[in-house]
Amino acid sequence: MLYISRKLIHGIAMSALNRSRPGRARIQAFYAPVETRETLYQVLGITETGSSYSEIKKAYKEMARKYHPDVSPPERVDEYTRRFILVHEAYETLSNPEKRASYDRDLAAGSGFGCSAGRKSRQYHQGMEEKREWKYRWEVQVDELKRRRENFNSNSNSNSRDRGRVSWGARMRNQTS
Amino acid sequence: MAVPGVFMRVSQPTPPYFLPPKFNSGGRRQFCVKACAGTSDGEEGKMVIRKEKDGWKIDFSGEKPHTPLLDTINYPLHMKNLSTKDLEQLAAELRAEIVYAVAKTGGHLSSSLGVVELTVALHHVFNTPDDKIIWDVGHQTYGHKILTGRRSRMHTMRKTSGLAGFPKRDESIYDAFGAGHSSTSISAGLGMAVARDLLGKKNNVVSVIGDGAMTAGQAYEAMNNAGFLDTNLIVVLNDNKQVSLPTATLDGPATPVGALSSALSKLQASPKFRQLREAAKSITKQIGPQAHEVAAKVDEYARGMISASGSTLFEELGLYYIGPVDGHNIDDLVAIFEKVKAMPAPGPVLIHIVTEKGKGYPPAEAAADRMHGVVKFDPPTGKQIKTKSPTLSYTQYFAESLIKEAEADSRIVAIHAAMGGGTGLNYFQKRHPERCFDVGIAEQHAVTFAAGLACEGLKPFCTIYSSFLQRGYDQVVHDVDLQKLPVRFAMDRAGLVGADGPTHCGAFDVAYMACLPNMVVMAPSDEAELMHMVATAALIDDRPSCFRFPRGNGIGAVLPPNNKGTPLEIGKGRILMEGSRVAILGYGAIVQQCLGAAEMLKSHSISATVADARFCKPLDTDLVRRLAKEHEILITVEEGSIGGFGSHVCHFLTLNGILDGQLKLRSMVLPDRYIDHGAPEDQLEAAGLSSRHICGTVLSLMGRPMEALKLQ
Repeated sequence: MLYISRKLIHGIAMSALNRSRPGRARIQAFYAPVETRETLYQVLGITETGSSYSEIKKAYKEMARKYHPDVSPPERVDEYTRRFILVHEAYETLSNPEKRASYDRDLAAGSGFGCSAGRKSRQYHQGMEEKREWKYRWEVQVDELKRRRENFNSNSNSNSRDRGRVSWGARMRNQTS
Repeated sequence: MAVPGVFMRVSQPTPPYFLPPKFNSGGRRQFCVKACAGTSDGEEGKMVIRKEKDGWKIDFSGEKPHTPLLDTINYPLHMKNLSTKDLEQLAAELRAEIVYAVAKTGGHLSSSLGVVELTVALHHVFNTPDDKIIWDVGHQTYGHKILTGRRSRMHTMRKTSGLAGFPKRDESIYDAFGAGHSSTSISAGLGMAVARDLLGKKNNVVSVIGDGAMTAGQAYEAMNNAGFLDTNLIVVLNDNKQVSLPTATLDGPATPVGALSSALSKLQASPKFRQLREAAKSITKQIGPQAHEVAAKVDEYARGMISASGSTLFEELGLYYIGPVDGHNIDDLVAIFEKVKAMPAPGPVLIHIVTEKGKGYPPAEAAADRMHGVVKFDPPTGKQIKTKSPTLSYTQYFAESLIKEAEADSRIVAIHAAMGGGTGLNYFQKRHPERCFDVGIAEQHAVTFAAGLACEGLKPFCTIYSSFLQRGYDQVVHDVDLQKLPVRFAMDRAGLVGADGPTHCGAFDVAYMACLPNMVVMAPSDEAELMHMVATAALIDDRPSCFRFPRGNGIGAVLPPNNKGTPLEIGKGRILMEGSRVAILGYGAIVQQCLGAAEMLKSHSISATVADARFCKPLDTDLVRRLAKEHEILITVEEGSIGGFGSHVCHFLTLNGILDGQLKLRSMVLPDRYIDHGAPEDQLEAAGLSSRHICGTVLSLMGRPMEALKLQ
């Protein structure tokens, strides 16, 4: 098993939460749904058939070293982190013989990777697409809320609708904090 | 002898096992005991809950599946260490548990199934009981009860001395607020949030409300106030696109009631949000990373432009809108709740989640009424085991007779408040679709709406449960009775209601209707009388009128031909059994108990007169005078609170000097406390209004108390 350092976990968590860069523009590609058309084998850069466990492990180590957040160029950290997570997922699936077998079956059936056979599968993908849209939207909303309330707390007059009124809730929060 | 290093925390009221454990932050691996989904010693045959590609699949075809993870959860505290995958497995197991539990006891099924993921996510993220979760209406809390230490008692759900079907503060500290009537959760939550702020506490308050409950005015009153006060409050809007109960029409859920639901569905439609954001993003890239204020403004405009029109409704009320969110994705739910919880001052936030009623149990997903309220059923097929009864329910007799009246008179219309199935008006709707109005959960509006209809000469039958009519009482007084408008109130579920409990109990309607100056108040003693009273009410065109009937099945009376009742003479009761010395005057369906008591008295060689008052207002004064004159003992019986029929009889007797003589008068009413849920017979016993009790009262009054005590 590859030793996963504490720092790496922390780094991934930090990127995911997007907390560590106060000076950057707020619109960032912190989470765009991954619409890959590539199989997990392509992610690791190996062939589907005939890859033994040690080959998979070697490919994983290579990819991990390349896309590790600590060694990625600073302006592409998010993209590299996403790649890294994908690589890790690929390794998890392909290194486990059971999971790999079921994944191979899925690939052969042609589902889940763009060559959808049949209406049910297409409907499922449309539903998934819609869910991804939703997820993207609410993530933006949550960050917006955070940003708005941080400004609100520091500047009690920013609630333009009430023209300078400090709400009851704000008064209570100022008392206790 | 002092033990060094031991501190007694005497000021700590909370038992230590209620406090959540402190987490070791930062990387060090935690030792957690996990129950695995699969075992490796050849037990694959028993694995009936398993994860497949597009979700968890539960096999309902056999016995209840093993629930290894759920077995380790007794309180929400035990859920804190679970990973997302474990939570998903827990949700699947909880689903199976709910299905098999309700299959044995009956109750509300699909609403609980729809919020399984929400329940798991809420208890995982928030620290109940310090954090408060308030469930609106409360019939979706079966999962919540299972996770909060009541799993072992689920087989007693809705039974006498068992678990209540709704949250109850007396039952558990995890039930923050009692519910049963809808749309109260945001108000209650706001009250708890404000109290928290005044007391300087730091807990979270979460109100869970459905899209149906959102049609009530009180929800808006609460949101308006919440926006103004700006306290920290989380409102979860559970939208399952069933604005009216799925029992609303015979063919399934009604098309949504009102403008609100179209607003909600617009919210769920996802315009090309991402493309617009990508465009906005590219603009920002050109501006440069330093100009983050400009970038934020662009972001806000982009969001405002494509945020659908419905979200501005909540925004204008002052709640921050987040959503829509997939209500069956635990990952998403946990992420949002964690983030909102972590913010120091979010203010009031509304999280709009979309769920499917009955999710995860195929028979419920397929059924027209989604198996909202069920009796015992068979889990593999979902087929309900309905006991055969020789008679139909009072509700059905009412619906039949109203349909017949409407055929004869085209001015008759029916109004209900989102209870098409419960009031039987789904049958009426099928026959006369343009004369049946479902106003949503809005009793106040229903009453005044009926008043408006009556102004213009129509004959509205406002069919609302006795206890729900309490919500529109001022409208009854001010809009209907004061102006003497001929609105007819058909109050179903009057008296004790059995498994639903005190929240649905119609104990007060005689009192609050009979005290109104212009109201005609009547009550049938059986289903044939009910049909006659429907006809009577249809004829009363100069003043408002009402009649009450209970939950349950008819007694097998001979119905009028073709289900068409004949109008009764107003203010006239009838005598059912002639006797001497003792008169029992009953009002409403309790007359059947009076008849039973008279039978029991025969074996004690007492022949009692039994009379059915039929009308509380105007009272049959001749009948009462006659009973008082010809008997030594007069007992009035009603299934209502003090201040009702018995009070009116007493008042009449005192004003006419009849109590100045030798008459012994007793009024039997519901006791001055709330009767808990249970089987109807048990409730009647607990209330002291069964045949045995009436018989005992008579015997005691006749100086034979020992015989009264020995009654079975």
